[in-house]
Amino acid sequence: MKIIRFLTMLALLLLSWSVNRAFAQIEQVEMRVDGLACPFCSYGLEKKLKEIRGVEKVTINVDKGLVTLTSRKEGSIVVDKLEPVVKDAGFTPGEISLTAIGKIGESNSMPVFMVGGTEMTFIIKSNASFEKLRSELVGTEKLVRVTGRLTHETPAGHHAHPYTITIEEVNIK
Amino acid sequence: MTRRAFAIASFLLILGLGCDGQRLPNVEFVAQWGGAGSAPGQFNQPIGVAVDAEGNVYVADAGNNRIQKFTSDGKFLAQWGSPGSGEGEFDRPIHLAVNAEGLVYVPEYGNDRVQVFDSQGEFQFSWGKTGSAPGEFDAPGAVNFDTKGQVLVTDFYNHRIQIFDGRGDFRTEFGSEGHEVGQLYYPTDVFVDGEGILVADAYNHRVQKYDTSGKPLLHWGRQGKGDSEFEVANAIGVDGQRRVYVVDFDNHRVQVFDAGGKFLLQFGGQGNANGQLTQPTDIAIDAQQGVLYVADWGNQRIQKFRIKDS
Repeated sequence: MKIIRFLTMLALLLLSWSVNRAFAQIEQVEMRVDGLACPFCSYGLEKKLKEIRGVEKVTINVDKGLVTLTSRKEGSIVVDKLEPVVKDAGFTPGEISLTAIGKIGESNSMPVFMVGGTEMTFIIKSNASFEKLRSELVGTEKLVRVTGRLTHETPAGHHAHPYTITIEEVNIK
Repeated sequence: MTRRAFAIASFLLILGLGCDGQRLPNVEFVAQWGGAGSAPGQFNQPIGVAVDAEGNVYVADAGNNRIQKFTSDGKFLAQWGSPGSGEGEFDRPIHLAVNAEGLVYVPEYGNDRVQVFDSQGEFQFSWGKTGSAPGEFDAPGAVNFDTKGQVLVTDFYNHRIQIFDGRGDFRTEFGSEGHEVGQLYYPTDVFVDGEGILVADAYNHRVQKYDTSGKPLLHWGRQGKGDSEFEVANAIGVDGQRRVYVVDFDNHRVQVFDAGGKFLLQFGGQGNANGQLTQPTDIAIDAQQGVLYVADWGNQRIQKFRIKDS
């Protein structure tokens, strides 16, 4: 089991490095946040989120409890920093979804989405919209724009990974 | 309440008296101005309001990162500020205040500082940087002044009140994070009423009163929708009769108390008609003129009311 985990990690790392780091990255992240009651909270959270590397703009809808972040042109939002920052600011993080550009690869027989220009890699949770294009995408060098939801699931046999992505929309660029 | 008690209470209210016979003021709508936008006189999240000795009204237009100045009738006079961190620039100006000399003190959530301007918007000086040490801030949300001209600043994420001299030199501080008496949980406003320091202890949904050394004297309020209950008690004002006005954000109203924290009346109510409020965030009282101004944040406007003692 340890060997499988080690090989998985190694494969993910190598796949990440193989991605062309010059192309675009995470375009937008949306995050549900519970406990946003007033502008004092939302301005405070806005301030904390702006401190995360790669964040250009933060828009907060207090009524909907929805935070929208856009990336800087020269960088990409470090997604795994979002939840700790929200918790430290006194709120409860909810569902995260993102739109990003990258490539589809494979690791330990599992499809993975490698975000361009970064070392972020998400294991893809298979569904109908992905399966339609799977053969066309996996292992190719095609750039895709993906919109999907992130969850903390780790498929059996894989090393614990920050996020799994459920793809809702995928387009070949 | 029994039928008889209700009848007595109703009779007293008709006479303009509280249940203990105390005379109640009437709060009447006078005017409103604003509307969503970025042109002069329009607002994008007007979160703070202050009034100077001449009756001019200053508004922290947080979403537009600027300060706007109006006459007491809402006629636009001046504006200053733009997004940024330089002198005269803002990152979320919040509950501003004007001191006895007419200087406008503006706390900024994003830049962790207080900037000071003259009445025409000319930058004078500033102080503060990000942190939790004395003199540092993590989201300063409000300023106000004591009778000595000292400046009190609510420090939102540090759950404390800091006190400075008029130039921003640190003097003392009080408060710590928590829910016990004297502790604070995200304070958003402060007011010195001559007898003590009133703090809007926003996320403890209460008002706390301290002496000038920071010793707790009194507190009232809890979370809820009834009288003396709050859904984020986020701003405080005191009128010439020492009545305390507490802005109750998510109950869309202002509650009025006597100096001891006894409930007297409320006004507002959710809506966008004249006199109604949607998520109000600040209050400024011109005791000389007997008027008050409410930052009607959700309706993108300022409303003016008259306090009438019958």
